[in-house]
Amino acid sequence: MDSVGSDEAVIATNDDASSCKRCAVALGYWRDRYISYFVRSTDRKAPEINRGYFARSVAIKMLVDKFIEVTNGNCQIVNIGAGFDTLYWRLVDEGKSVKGFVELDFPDYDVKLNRNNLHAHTYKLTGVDLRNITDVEAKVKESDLEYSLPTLFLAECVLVYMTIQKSSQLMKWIAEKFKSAFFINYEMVNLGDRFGEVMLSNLRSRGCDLAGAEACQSTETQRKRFLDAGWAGADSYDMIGIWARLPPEEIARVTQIELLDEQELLHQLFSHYAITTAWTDHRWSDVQL
Amino acid sequence: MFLQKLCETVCELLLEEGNIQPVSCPVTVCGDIHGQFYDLEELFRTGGQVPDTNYIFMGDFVDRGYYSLETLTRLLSLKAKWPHKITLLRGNHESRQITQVYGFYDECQNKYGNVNAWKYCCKVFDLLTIAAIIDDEVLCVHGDSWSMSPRGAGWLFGARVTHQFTETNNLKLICRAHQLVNEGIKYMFDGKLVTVWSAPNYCYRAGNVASILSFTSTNEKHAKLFDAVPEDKRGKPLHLNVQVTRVFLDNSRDSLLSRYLSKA
Repeated sequence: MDSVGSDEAVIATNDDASSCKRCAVALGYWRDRYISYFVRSTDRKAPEINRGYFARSVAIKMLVDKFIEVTNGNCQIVNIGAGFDTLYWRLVDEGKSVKGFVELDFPDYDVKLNRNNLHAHTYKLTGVDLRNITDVEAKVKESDLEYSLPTLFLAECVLVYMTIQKSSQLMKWIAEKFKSAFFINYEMVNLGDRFGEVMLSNLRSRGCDLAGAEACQSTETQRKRFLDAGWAGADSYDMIGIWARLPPEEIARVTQIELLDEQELLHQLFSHYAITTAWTDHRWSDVQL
Repeated sequence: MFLQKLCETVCELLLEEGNIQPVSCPVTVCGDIHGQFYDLEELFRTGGQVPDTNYIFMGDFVDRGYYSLETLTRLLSLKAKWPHKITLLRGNHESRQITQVYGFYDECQNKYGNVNAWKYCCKVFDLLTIAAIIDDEVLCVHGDSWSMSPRGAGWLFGARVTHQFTETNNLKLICRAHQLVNEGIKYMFDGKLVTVWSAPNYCYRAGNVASILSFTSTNEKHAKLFDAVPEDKRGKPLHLNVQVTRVFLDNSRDSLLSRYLSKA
């Protein structure tokens, strides 16, 4: 094992994220017909948490939609550490078809979800340990992914649970094999302050070691890690920057859902998460919000 | 039900108090607590136990933290036992609407299995004093009116109003809470307004320090800072152990009674 934390604890972060997403969806922040199949109803979360998940969810979806659009659906999507993510079904609902959609996650987690190596027409769920690059290569081969097709890789708070060495290895491997890749990485950032200290301590006490926290020091380190791994270009914006790029009518809509007078809390959260995009094909440098 | 009796007792006491309750020095002024029970205990260790120390709490006892019920019960018990040694002001979170968004309502449901507990507490909220005045010279209030306006012009408005108000009313200082302050305490407007924030590491993630402001006289005051109680000294949040907490609350009323309402 490469980290002090436990895989079970990392898998459990999916439960947290999913219950937060479910809460926000139930309040009307965004539409997701499927999340309730994966997660039981739970206590209401604080408004800044709901807004944070909204910003994350909507921004990522907009980037995914844009990628599908510019490739005319002639693309693949690989969701790394997907957890209970419902992206595939939401795309199907919206009539957005892609050539292949693969979800990669821990084999143990897949068992928990009661499926393993589930293959359907374009959808595949595969159990793999991302820290084992040989396993990754084998499983990608099995999934019938085409290395030459434009491929979107999505990771939401995944790389940070791997050591720098392992995540770098994964990113390098993707860049070498997929010449038309586009990566969306949602993750912590600016962890060098007191807030970051508290976050690290909280997670550690739950058995989650942020082994890759070093890459989360700033949007610059988030960008640089991709460039160092051989990606052609990268951009990184913290969630304050992302929020400013969301459609104004959506902002107006969601700020009505719940009263939030403690803007400091939202600001604090937003300034500690970022979306980084990276590409091996210069055509995807325009896939932005 | 113990909580019902406690709420009724405090309601009767509050009916006797004025809308602006006069208080005398020495007294310690405290800001938002937000259900952080273990940190409230740390506050008492820092400032002294009731009745050795007199206190004014400027509201927002509930919501956000995992122990709003325990926090509120603690403060109400102190009020019931030593009504002249502790003043409880109403914060914006002592309301039906806000507690349904920010967690107190849910906590009552989870711990008691029904909404009656919440209803009794809301009756107390309705009767809480709005403000306290220390020796006619220091006003204490929860402090919504001094919030930053969303358009950012709020500071200028706040400064003018504060100066006018303190002058007109011969006040030395206005104490308020309501707004998270990273350093625990913050003076503004030439020292005419002070924000006191008493919930350390707010929401268990903000990383801030907390403070209480201790007045020996209206001229002499000093802030006492304190940190959040370490992880290993805190209980496990409710949602990890609903059964235990329910039993704790049911069985604890006798020990609570004997601890906080002990006969003289």
